[in-house]
Amino acid sequence: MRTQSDKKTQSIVHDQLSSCLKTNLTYIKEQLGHSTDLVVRHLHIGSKKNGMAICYLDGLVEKETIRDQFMSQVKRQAFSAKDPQKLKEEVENLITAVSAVEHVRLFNDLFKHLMAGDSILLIDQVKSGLIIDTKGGNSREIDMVTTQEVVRGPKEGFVERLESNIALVRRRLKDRNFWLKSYSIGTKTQTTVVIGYLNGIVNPDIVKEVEERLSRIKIDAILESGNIEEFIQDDMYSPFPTVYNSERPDAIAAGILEGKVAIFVDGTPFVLLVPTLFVDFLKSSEDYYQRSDISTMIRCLRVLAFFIALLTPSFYIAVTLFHQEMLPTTLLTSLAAQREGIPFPAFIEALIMEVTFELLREAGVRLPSSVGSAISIVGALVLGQAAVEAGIVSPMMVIVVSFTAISSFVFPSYNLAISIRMLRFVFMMLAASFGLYGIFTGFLLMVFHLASLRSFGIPYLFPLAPFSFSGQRDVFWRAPLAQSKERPHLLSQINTTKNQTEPSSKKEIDL
Amino acid sequence: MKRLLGCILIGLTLLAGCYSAVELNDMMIATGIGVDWVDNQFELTLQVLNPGEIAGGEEKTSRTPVTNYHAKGDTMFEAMRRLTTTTPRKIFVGHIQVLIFGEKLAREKGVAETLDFIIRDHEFRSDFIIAVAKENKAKNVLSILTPMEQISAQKIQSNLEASEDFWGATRSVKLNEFVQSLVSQTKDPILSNVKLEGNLEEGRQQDNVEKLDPAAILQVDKVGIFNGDRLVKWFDEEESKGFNYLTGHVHNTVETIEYNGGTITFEIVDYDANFNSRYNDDELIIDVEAETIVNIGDVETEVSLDDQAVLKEIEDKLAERIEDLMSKCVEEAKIYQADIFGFGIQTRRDLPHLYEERFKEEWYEYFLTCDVQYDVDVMIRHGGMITDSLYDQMKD
Repeated sequence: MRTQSDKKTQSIVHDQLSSCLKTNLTYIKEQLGHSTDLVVRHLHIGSKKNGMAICYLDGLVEKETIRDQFMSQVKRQAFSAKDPQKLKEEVENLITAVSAVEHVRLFNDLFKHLMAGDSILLIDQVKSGLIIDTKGGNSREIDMVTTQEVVRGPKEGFVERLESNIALVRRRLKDRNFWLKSYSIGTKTQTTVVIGYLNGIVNPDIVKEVEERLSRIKIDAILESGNIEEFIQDDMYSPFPTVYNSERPDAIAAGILEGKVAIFVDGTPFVLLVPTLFVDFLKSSEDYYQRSDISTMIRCLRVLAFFIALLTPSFYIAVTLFHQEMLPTTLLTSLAAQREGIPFPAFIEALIMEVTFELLREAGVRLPSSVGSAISIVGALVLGQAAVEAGIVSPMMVIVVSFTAISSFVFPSYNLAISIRMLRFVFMMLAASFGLYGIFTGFLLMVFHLASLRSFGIPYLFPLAPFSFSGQRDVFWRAPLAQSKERPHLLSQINTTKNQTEPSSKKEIDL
Repeated sequence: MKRLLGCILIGLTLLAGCYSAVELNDMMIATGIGVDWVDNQFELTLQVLNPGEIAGGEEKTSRTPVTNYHAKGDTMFEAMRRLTTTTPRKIFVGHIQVLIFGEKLAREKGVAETLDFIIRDHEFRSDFIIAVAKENKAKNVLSILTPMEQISAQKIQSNLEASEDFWGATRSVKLNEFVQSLVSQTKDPILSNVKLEGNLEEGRQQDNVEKLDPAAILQVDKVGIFNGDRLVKWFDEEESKGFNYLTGHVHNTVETIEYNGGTITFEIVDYDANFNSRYNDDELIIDVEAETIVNIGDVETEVSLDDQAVLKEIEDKLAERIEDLMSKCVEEAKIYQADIFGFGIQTRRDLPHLYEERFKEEWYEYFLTCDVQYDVDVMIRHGGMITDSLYDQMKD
């Protein structure tokens, strides 16, 4: 097979395009395995038959551009030149009017462009091809965000198309210092990965680090930004995410304005943002659109939810197993009455309910939405109520699990919720073995671990540890915009002023 | 190395764990303890909860909300452990609400021997209330089924607290306070009583709580004074009140004075008292200063309340009445040589050098001869919704 194809295409030397149109076309077809989406259309130049051919991959190109603006133009034109080189220049001049044009001499480049959705124009007797930018084809329209919804704030979210995503951010950052740099990662997928940052605000070392980490990736496929995230994150074995991702253009724009680097990956609506701090996961872009007092309250609520989601089941286990004296007598009586006749130890009981809940949640995510409501009925009624009535779990346990579940849905980012889901089981085990002592030891170790993490050189717990007083303006307390005049310190040390609004004069208007 | 460390940590968690863990359905929650002195042994009464009968939302059966278990022993600890011959589960004492001594134990044996175990054991709290079953056994007091509060131990506890807050003749003495007075060189402890009113046998039946007028009820109304660890005397109601007036433990109470052939009753809404010691001409003097704000609550006599001079007169009369109660109490305490007020402790604070030199060795002699001087300041704040009494208005 191999020898056969070698024989046939022996005229192709060193990956260079041949001057024979037919040879070139055959080579392309063969290299693509005669794939059905390859379209080759022959064109006549004046009286000369088959003097030109255009090839592209169906579905990746904007067909209207090719048909209306290019094909019809070329057909209508009476080319005067007889010399193929001259002819090529003429064609090029013609196309430049409607689309970007490049030359290609190597098949390697030719295929890259072909795969990216460009069309290739080949002319007989010319040893190079013209690349016409016809990228297009169908992709999802810009739509409402689905993961980080807000009540107030822009509703549009990123889509799978890289160009649209970049445009969405560019529309928010009309600054010539918003620079983009493109990479192609994945030997098979050739996924375009673009980093974007605000020159003059971003710390150049961080950009260098991001570039270096990206260039280190040698893999055949990048299908989602999650693939990139796994390669560039600081600690592979940490349960905590050190890379932020968002579907919201405003969140990404805000991050870039703080001096972070955005990483766009073609084919996914999730854009990455580095460096990432732990507190970023407790913030929602809506915090900045609502008044500062209510945002502060909601943030405190999220911190509370963090502890509830992480520790409630373990606290329940610890207190009922080891520290009965901590509860008010009436509460203990009521708990004891509920546990009367329950066959399992508290830990097993908690484990059963937590696992059930995780199952329900996972089932709910995977199921089509039309069946999703069935799951909630089964979960809430059958499992919750029936388990209690059958005396397998105590009603208090159902309350604990529901409370935990509600709290874990509070976080604006899914990443952190996942870490908490996992750690919850660890804490439950610690509580069952050592009681509150175990919980506190575990919590201490967790904080040690958090403090040891870094994201692209920035301490993960900043501005809590190392403590930064000015950084507190945007952690639990969301300072009014008029009062927050500086960007976060550790991220960028250049050009830190972001707000120079004079305090309002509060003049009274005479009526 | 890391893997080894991980294995050790996992081993520690899974192998050593669960020490001292007790499931809620493997324990009995005790709410009250009674101690009696029977045949030269301690008789322990332990009241435990029957959670299903108490917790809200559970279906009730005809079983009692609490169950009592009894055991005898030469020491408290022994009796406590002997209880397990009758109890089905491990006893959890972290939620004890009251400790009740039988009067016989308090008078004849002394309570000190019972307390060492309770304080030494880590599971016991130190803030539950102690009381003495007046002229009765603790066993009997704890065996009454009480209406409203299903758990009789809880009823005694909240009863003592409520009556201290709104009547002022009792004191809810907590374990740590009692022990502090007990071990103090000079101070003597007091305890409130729990009295069984009515028929014991009927009170033990379930239908005691099914009646409008229960056959047996528990009442708290007085303070008993101790000399050392023995109960020596029950104060009457006036003396009990006087005690609380002197030590400043009155929060809200009612006081009546005679005036113009009738009576005026006041509600004491704010009361504060403290005492200090001084030494003058070879005599130890205790100055008791009290301030109180009162409202007029009930006027059954002819009196013009809009006259400042009359108001002043009434204020003085009330002050006199309070002083009277206090001095009665002090006289009684002196008879039994029980410094229940803590005069000795206060003297040590006010006159440290003199105390060390002179009073320390024979404090009780000084206590008996000390002169207690009272200064009560009464202020009438509100006269209520009407000015003249109905008594007056009817006459006009």
